[in-house]
Amino acid sequence: MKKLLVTISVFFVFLIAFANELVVYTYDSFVSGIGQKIVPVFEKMYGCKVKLLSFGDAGAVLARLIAEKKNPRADVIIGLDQGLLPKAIKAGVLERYTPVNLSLLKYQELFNEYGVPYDFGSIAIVYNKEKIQNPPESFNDLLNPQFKGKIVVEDPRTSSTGLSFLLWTIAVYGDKYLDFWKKFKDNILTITPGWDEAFEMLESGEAEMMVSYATDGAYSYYYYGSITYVPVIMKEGAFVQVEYASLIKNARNPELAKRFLEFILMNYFQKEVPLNQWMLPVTQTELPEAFSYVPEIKKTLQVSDEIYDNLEEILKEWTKVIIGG
Amino acid sequence: MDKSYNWWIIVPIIFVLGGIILPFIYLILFAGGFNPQVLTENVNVIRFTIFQALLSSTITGIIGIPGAYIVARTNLNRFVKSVFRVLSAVPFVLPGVTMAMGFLLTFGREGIFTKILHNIGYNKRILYTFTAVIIGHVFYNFPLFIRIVGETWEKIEGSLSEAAKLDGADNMKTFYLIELPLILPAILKAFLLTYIYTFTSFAVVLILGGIRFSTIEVSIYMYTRILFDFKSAFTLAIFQMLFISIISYFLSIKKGSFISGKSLKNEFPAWGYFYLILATIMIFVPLAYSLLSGFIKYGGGFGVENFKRLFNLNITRFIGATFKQLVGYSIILPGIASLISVLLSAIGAFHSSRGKKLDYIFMLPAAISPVTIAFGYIIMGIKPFFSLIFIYTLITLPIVFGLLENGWRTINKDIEEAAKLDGANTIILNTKIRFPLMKYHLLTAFVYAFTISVGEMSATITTVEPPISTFSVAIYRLLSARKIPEARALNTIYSFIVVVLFMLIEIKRFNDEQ
Repeated sequence: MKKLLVTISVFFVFLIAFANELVVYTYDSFVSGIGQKIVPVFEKMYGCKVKLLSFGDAGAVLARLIAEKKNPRADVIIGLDQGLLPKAIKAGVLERYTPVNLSLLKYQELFNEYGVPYDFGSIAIVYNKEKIQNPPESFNDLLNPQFKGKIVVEDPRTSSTGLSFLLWTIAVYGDKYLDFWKKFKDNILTITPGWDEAFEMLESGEAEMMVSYATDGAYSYYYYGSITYVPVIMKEGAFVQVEYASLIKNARNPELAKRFLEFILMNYFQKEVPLNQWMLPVTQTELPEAFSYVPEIKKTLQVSDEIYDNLEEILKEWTKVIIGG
Repeated sequence: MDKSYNWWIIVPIIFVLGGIILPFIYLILFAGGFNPQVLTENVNVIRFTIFQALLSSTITGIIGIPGAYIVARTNLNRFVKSVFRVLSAVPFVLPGVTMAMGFLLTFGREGIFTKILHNIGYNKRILYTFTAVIIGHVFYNFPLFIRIVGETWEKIEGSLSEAAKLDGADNMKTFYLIELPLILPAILKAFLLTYIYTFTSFAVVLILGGIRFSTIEVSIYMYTRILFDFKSAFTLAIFQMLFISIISYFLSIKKGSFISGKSLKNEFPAWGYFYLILATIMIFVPLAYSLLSGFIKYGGGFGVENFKRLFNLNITRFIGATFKQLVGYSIILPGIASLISVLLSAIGAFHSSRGKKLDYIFMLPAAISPVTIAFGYIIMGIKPFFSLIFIYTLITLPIVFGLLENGWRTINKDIEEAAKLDGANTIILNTKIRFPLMKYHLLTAFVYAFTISVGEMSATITTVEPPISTFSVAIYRLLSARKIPEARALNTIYSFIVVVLFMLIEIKRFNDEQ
């Protein structure tokens, strides 16, 4: 009899544990970084289990989510940026949700009913300070012949950093962005498939500048105690990448998912953003010392939703200018 | 011809076609059809892809064939030959990021080769030109020629060439009349494999070629990962697959010829020294840098700091698996896949070496991007464990098939006939005659399959879930968490494992010869 009771109770514990599992899809560095810090806190708060799964970068994760649309396995997707979010909405994989604690959000304009912003950061031009005496301050400076063959850019067709940079030039030049690229082309040493390869070129002394992130200096200071590669934000204004967490349509555990979307605006989560995500928190949060090396964002630039809708056309035009076909 | 064995050939054919066509059907249903327009939109990219692959594989052949001659037919020191063979096997299984590092340090601005050229007054850049793309492709693929052509060449019966020479033919004539026809199938096989691998090249073209070059693979990537236009992506992927299988069909010459003698060793030629120098500059120097990149510290300089960082790192946190699990899965998954691959290829290659035209089926998996197939398996709902075994088996088939077909060709028909007269059945024939004769080929094929599987990055990352992890996933995840020094250190460790594996087969070969 006792045995039976134990079996039954074990069975129920399993049932509850199963019903209380939150499946979160995200990109790789989220799992190894901030995920390690915040998951135990959330699990304790709600007595549940959180399963963080990653399949490469955010683009790969969204592709998988779309593939699983008919029978979704995840409850929450973390890491869609303002470029990917409209694609996910269009593909019909997300559900609207407004967290009850939305008022904590410092920048209300970042909110999207399909996505709760959890951090943001600016892309930047990062240069090797030992090799470049007078770094560029504006996009116009980037065209200066003295930088000929010194800059590495990531390919917008294969890299989200590269795509953000292309969007930055559109935010600055509007319809005339291709004129910029026609001239800028001469200063580009090469385009790499991803951030890693570009960084490798900077490090091996092959290139002197690359497209990277504004927090690079802070990162380098924090981990290696010195800064060789210095980020600059062009004076035309910063292009800010905002990252969102979203509720998935037909999620198995929507209630817990909603609690998670509220959790990301809480201090438990936000205070871990700077040193794990190397991005800026979206609520009123104290910044660590290393962040004094992040260049200040004085003005932000944005591109319209139409640009995101026409990405295919834009990439085609860009390819024509750069590759010629 | 061994009639009793014919039906076996169904197994690998079903595996290849099922493993590729089934996921593609799912992919197309998922995408909702084709978008033929994408072909005209990408016409320049398609044209460049076809052209660069042709040029790359031709030049790889021109550089690879003399190398095959040197290892197969000259009396070059056996130790030097062994080193040459081991080192020339490694580039083929090296990840793109590591390759890039090696090339930057050799041909880059601060590169050793650039400095030498600079001193003799040559100041033009090598990287970021079409030449660099070609050098990159030669680097990756010339091992195929050394293995596939070299090992056939070695088995050409010496008395044949001897007889030709007695009849008054000079070296060149002997080559054209006697040897070339015998090694032609091997040359074509190596050429075809190189063509396919350079056709689907991605990282080499972008990193080394600079801004003007781009292949179909890059477009496929863009449509799936940036634009989520699956129709266009899969249309391009299917075009690529059809194109390759048509080329494969026409490029495979079928002759049921057997080569199982022992070749004569010629005097090491004077051009051989020049050749070794060229190979050192183009292949071994970049390779050495790639292998040693783990010792390059953050911010420059050499040291073991990266390894210290790696061993102090809580690796489980980054790769979603413990170190034990990492090693375990890196052995189990590629191990099972390599066994299946060797088995399937052994069956297929047997029939192919006896005159069946099967190459185009076995070459097919090389023409699909692993990531696309992985995506298909996800839609089909196949569990990661099995999905990865399928993928590894598929991607290793083309090369394993090429190596084993060579192996089958070296088994003398007369020995088999004699054994059959003595009453040997197929089982005895296989276990007592064929497999022992092919032991070296089977082992080589296994090591290739194994290392290629462990090194597979793109499909593995799309598929794995904790606790499954392999070395390539671990390297990728460290890189994406910006743990670059640690990633380099791990990559160097992995590369040394590869070198050791290839050394083991070389030692086996050395002992067999003695």
